[in-house]
Amino acid sequence: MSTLDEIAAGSSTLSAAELRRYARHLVIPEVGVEGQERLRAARVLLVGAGGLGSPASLYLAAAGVGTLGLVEFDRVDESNLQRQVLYGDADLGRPKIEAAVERLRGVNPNVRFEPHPVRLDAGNALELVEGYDLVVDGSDNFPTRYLVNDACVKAGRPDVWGAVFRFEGQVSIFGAPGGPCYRCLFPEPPPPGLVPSCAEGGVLGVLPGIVGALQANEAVKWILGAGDSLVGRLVLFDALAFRFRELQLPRSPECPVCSREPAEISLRETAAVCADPSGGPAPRPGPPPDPSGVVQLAPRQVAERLGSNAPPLLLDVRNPNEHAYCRIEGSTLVPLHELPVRFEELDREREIVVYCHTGVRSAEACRFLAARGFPLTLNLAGGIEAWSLEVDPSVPRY
Amino acid sequence: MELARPVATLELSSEAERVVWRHARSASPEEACGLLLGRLASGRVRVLTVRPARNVAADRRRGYVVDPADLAAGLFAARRRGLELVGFYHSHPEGVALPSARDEAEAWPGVSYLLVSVPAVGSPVLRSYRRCRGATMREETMREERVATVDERPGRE
Repeated sequence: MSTLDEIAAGSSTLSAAELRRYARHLVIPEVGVEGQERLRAARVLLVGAGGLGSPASLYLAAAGVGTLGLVEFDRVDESNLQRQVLYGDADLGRPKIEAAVERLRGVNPNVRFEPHPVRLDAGNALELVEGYDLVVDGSDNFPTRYLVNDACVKAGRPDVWGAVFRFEGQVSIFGAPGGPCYRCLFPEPPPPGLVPSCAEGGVLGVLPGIVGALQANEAVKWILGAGDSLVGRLVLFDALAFRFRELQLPRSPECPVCSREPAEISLRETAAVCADPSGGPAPRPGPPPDPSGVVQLAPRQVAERLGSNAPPLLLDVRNPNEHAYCRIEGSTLVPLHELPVRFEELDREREIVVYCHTGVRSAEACRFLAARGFPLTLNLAGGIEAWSLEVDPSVPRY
Repeated sequence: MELARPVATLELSSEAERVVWRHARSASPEEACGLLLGRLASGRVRVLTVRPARNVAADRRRGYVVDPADLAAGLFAARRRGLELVGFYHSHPEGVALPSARDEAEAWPGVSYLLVSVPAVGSPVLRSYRRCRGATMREETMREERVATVDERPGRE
């Protein structure tokens, strides 16, 4: 029965307003009235309403997905606005989830929104994922990525996966029945060490727009049951060269997660591998060493030490342009790449607190100095970013 | 930023690329390195075997030196199978897939240098370069070559 016949026969449950709103969908044979009804009945969970979640949620809401769950606990920051198109200047400082729901409701008031203002963790992941038909992962850190993957495999829900870094984007679907999961490709996160995050490495603002829209495309196709899905295929997009490539991803019989029975899969959080303040667990208050042997100090502890009788040397290992933009008063600049030829300039007897933007490069500097006999090197956990948030808001963030 | 036309195409199978990715991820934060064996045709470099090698650099976080024993074994293996050493791969665990000054200085002519960066979220990023004549004909610079995925269909070879 054609779309017009269905409507004429009154067998469609879509209202007149819905018929008008989704007119361009209804004329596509792969969607039609039935497909639009399927979209309306669908429940999609978006993990993260940031660079990827912004375009994905806007398109899913516009497409008429009936229920959209959003997991997001962050607030809107100025550095988000270059790519997170859900938000504008007026939203600065607001909880993202509040601003996102407001914006999305403006796009399509027919959608039911279910905000989850929490951080996804091993305790809540399964319950959240099980409540939806499909998950769109737009999170920005490895622990969450692995947790979403494991929960999706356990619950039997597809994980529409996207990632961006600088000019490179990737999309796939993991955890779908019969298909591979993320752990088939990489069983465990990389060991703790130097792994740049978007905060550290940067991302072209348009890129998450493209990749998030591709995720929305795959989610809509999955709901409709139309076309070829990305299960078993990883699409790589190089925005600089403008090239798409596609990699085959077979399911691994040795996969530590999807080769098991769902009941046997236990959800656990993997350690954060980078000091991304929006991603990993909060910096530890005490100074226990992290797995890589670097002693971490919280911003407040550093502030206390600086105010003491024997203040430590503050060593900034960022690049000169970053130092020029903002710094902690009284710090010495030695960019990380110059450290191997300049470390002899530093006083071995003095306590040294090293910092960078988010704590990744400075951890590397601590390891470097410790290996060369500097007994008292400490890392400012979370970098100058955390310093600005927790100690001195006059230090601009970037 | 110069965006020259790619000078050649490096063809890898999905499986070969996954081997390189996994090696780069597991070696992080140290640099991973290895050999690319395959065949050369005009403008096309076809990688048929990826051989991970040991990195014997003094500071493996900041550089790589392919273990000479692994290089020799790779060259023997290539000859045995009628293949050539078409390139090397190595990872930049903390950076982007761009040749460093040292990569430029030490690159051999005539082979591909496949670089792998390991970002925090997502999969490693591959870019390939080869040493080419620059505009003045005397200087040689690293120019990017295209990386293509070529999977054999079952039944062919």
